Amino acid sequence: MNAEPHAARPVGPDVLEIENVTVTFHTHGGRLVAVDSVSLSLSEGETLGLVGESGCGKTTLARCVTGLIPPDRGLIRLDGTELSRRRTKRDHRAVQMVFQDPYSSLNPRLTVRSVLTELLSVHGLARGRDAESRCRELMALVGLRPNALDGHPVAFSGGQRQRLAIARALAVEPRVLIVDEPTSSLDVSVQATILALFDDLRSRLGISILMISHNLAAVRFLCDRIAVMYLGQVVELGSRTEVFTDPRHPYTEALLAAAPRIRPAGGETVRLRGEPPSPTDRPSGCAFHPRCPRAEEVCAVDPPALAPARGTAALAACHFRDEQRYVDRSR
Amino acid sequence: MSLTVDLTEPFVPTSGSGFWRRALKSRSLVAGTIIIGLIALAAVLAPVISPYPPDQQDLFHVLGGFSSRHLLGTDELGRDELSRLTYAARTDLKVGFLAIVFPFLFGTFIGTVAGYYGGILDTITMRIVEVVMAFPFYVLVIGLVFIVGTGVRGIYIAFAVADWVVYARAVRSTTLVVRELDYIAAARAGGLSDLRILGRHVLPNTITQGIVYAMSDIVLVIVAVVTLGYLGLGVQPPTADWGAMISSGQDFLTTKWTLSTFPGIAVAVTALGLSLIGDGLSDVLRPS
Amino acid sequence: METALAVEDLTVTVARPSGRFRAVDGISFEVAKGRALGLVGESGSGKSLTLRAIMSLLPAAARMDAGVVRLKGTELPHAVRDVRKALRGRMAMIFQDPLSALDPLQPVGAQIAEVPRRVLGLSKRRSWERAIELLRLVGIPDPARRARAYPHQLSGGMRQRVVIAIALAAEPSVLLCDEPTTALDVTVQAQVLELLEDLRARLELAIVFVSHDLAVVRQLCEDVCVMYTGRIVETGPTPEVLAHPLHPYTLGLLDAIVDLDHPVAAPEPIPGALPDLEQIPGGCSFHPRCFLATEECATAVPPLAEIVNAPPSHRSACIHSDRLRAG
Repeated sequence: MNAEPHAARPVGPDVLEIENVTVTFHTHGGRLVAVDSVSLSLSEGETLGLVGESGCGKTTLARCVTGLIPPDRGLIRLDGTELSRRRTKRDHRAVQMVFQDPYSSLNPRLTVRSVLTELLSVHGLARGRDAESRCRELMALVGLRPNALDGHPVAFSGGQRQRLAIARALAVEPRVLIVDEPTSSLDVSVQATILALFDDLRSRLGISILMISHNLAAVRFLCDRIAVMYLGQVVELGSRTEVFTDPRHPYTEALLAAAPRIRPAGGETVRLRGEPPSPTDRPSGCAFHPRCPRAEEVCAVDPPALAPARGTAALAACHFRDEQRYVDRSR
Repeated sequence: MSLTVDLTEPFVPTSGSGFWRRALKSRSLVAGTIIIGLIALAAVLAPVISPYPPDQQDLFHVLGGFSSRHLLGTDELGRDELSRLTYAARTDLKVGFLAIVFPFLFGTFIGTVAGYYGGILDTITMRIVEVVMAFPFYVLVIGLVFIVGTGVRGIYIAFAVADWVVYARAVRSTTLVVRELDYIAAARAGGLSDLRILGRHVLPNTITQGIVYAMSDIVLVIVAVVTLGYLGLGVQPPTADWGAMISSGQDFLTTKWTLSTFPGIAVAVTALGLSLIGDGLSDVLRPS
Repeated sequence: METALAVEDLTVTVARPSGRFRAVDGISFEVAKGRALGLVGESGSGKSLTLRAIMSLLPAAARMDAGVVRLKGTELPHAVRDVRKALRGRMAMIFQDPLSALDPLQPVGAQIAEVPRRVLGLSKRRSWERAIELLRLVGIPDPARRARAYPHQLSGGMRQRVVIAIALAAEPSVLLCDEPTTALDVTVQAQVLELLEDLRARLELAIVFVSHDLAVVRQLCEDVCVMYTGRIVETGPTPEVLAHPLHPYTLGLLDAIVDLDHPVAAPEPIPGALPDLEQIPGGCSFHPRCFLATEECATAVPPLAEIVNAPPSHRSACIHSDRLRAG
């Protein structure tokens, strides 16, 4: 449990490829581009973190990858094969999601056993006695006693419900697990349990995880690589070490600076002006420029591409990506 | 200072969250069920407990008072009041309950499908609902009865056309909310078919709205059946029906007021019982 | 330093179908003028109920059974109506969700202006001017124009600033905050925390800040009280408490968090689970989950006491604190 988090985790070929995915919504306020031509890949056994604030599109992207929202443009590949817009049952099985709100992600009228056996039977995985033993295995996997199978969601606490949601996602043996803000409605001590559970599942099952979170510390603990999103675009993409010690996009720097610390290491902090703009009202050029402390004239005109920066393997969508401004104070 | 912690968490099942437990605790539900139970019992046992057939006339003993032979007296054709009341209960309860079956089933089905899929289906359905709702209920029902004919058959058809809309509306609203919940998204992400999602995940969570509404709707329907009977458009004589009894007893309000009043009281008590059940059910069916 | 707010032996009970239970059990604390005190805890710790009891805003099922609240030395009356009158203009509270704290039908300027008009008796025009001054004070750009905006036209962070402006409009000496930044994005949270720090210094406000987030409390509050099942288990200067915790629960909380700057350690969950209000263990309520627990711990509630070799302001409610001090 005290594994050195910076040890390289063995990763394999790409299990998930997101290519130029765009998702648009039509609302009263106008055309809303929630996800703007995003490309990402997830290797087998890897945990990729998706961070950003409200309106950045991370939840929409997650739902799109899960097959709940079809992309307007772009495609998604699973193990090299393109997934069709209307997913088949098998496609769905491969990509599962653990939802954010443990209080609305479980059907209040069904017992835990019903939910699990339904999935097992629909996908032809197990029936009858086999199904029952598989249900018990799943309970053990998420750390609940077998008697939990008889319960209805109302009888469980938030942390326990999150475990049930994880069990449900794992029931169909997915290749990719998408986790949407796994800790946000939970108490601090319960968050630790859930994070430890993910860590444990990851090493036991070797599953690939796409984790969405605004909790940077949790992301630093669990994720091998991190993508930072702002207003529908990926603005920085790099390994854990790169993003947390040598960020090359001013927004990433600002996020790191804004997060409060238990033991602050001091030093000056970057404070952003203003708030995340509404996605229906995109600024010109680089979407971040109105709030950016580093912005210059070119930024309002010329949108920077997500490209490699000098001296690092990370990618950043900033004209000044080659500059190393950040002073890393972590120990 | 740090510990390796077993991540297993014990689950202590909470007791008393079952439906029957809560049902028994609800005073309204229990009281209502007793009332309706007694009336229904009287209705079912009508042939057994009625001293006379309800249409048996005895023209030598019209408008009789309470006696040992006729506990509640006789009406203007010498028919035994008690017998007619119990047989009328039979007719009115049966017609009332049966009349809402189609509206409930059809309305719930349409409402669920329209609410879940949205789009053009929803738009068309809601426009139809609005058109039907634009007519005052009684105007519509009476109009339909005139078209299709009086009697029990007319009642069933009239309600089938006029009454389904409220169920559709109520269930659609709930469906709109439920379909956005994460467990529905999880069901879709789990590869479950739409039919399965609607049947196992959406409907059980939306139908309670329909059931609770049905309880108050039965009251409405029974009163409407009685009203139609009163107007001569519903259950036809000589079949006993509270409405017809109230109507024919009107002429004798000053002399023998019990002829109209007793059926009236029967209707009122039935309505009360059903309202109590509806109240109680709406509390009990809410998932804690 | 002048004490702005003092709370003594505050007890709040909550009614449940099976009886009344203590949700806040005899807690006491003080906040001086110009200082911020953090109340930290998880669900069921009683931190929010404490603030509500002080403001006399308890929900129907809850009741303040005991305790004295002193505002600048004057004891507040118990009857709800009198308390509200006594609090007007002297203490204010802000909540977690700014959208539900604002009236959607009125422009924000009007909502702010209502306070000086009713509480301070200023004229309509002066109140409006004061509202614009306050909007500027809380860092809203172009305040004269923004004052006419409706809440739904503003972003989350701006709404929270408006809520703060309303709270400050009657010039209170104490500001109670119930998780005001929890629902905000992290960059917006940073701005609001900075604003609160700035206001505290400029207006010499005493702040009581409730949060579940130790890091946020570290940023804003000089002193902290850690609460568990309705009691204060540890209190002291924030840097001291977080660097050298003297209560096993505080230690457990710190081990459960991944600190962004010290990511080496994996988060350690605290064994067991938070007890339900109706099943709080006897004696020290943390003992079933505590690695230091001995038989004594189940018998009596340990008092919040000074610990040998620790500064007197740093107190802990644990009979084994000395073992943590040494380690």
